[in-house]
Amino acid sequence: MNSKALVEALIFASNKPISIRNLSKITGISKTVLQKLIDEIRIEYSDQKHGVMLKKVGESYLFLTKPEYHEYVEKVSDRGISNLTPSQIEVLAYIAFKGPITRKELHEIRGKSADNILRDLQNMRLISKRRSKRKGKPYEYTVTKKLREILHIASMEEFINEVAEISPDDS
Amino acid sequence: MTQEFVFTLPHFEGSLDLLLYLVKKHEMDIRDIKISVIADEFLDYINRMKRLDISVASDFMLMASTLMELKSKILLPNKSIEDIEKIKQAKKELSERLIAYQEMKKIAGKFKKRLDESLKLHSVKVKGEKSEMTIDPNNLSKLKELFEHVSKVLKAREKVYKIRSEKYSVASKMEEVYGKLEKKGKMGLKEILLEAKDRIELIVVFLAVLELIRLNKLSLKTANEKYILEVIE
Repeated sequence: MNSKALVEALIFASNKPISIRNLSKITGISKTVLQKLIDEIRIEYSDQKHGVMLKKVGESYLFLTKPEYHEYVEKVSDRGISNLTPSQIEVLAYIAFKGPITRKELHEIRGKSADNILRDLQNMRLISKRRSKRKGKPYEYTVTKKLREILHIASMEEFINEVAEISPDDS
Repeated sequence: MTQEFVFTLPHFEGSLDLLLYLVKKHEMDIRDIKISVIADEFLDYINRMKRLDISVASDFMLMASTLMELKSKILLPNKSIEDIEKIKQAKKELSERLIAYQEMKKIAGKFKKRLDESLKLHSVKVKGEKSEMTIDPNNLSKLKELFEHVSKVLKAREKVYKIRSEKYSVASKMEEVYGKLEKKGKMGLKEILLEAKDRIELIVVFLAVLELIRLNKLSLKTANEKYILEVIE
């Protein structure tokens, strides 16, 4: 058996990003050797003859299609959230950064109701609500695993630090 | 020949959006807003919207009245120290709201940039040759067996517990079950059903599971003769 091919198969077949630890458990190959194999795979796929690339998310790996083919890939993708409205992005961003957050808090900061937007974002499974332990047990909204997967991030904390470095387009 | 005039009016997402625009337009310090100037222009904007037959959202009206009230208080002569303090407080609150709103806009801008980049990358997953076994809707006898088994186990427990039927609701159980599965990713159906304290709870939990499957939130699969519930993301 070819170990590199085996690792490639496992990363491709895994439902979510797969960690070296997990790969080691499944294959019995040591972590050091696995790291070497993964590095080789990454270099091979970075070649322009491939349409996918290997990406590290936290401590795990997954294959992603390359950004230059996005326009075409989108036509066969079933993700179905490419067209978010500015208001939806605004609310989603705020929940991502400040969540868990209640409907009332969102209303206060925006100066208007976010009810419809919250419902739409929930239908897209980008946010979820849960009863909080606060007084009156209001629902609190947080972002979902699906959003973390779309953003290819392992945790929100890591993401917030990363985004803090970005300069926004408009002033 | 009739001539058509087209008026354009900048679009504002909400009252705070407009307020921030006016503050920036006059190059005011966000911590020291000139209420009288802003209040008049705010009202003017609303009137223009009305003239153009654009429906004015209630939050604009609320903000307009807040600003006008504040303006009239400021213009009033012979204010007491208490009044001056109140005006100061109201102005401070308005500034704080505007600062928080501006902060949110900034965050949203950064977030959008990052999201747009991510949306260009699609995760790739291939299916193994040996595909997962799915449930045959015509052969649900195993599912029935499982339910009957758990039901039997719980019948024994019922002798110990008192039933209070109104304790459980499908909606709250849906939340509970989904929350549990969200944490673990997947769980055995039997495992979840066996957590019920009595038969009423079992039925409610079972209904909640079925409802979650119907809503496409959970998937039910069989693996090694076991029913596995999984969160659909």
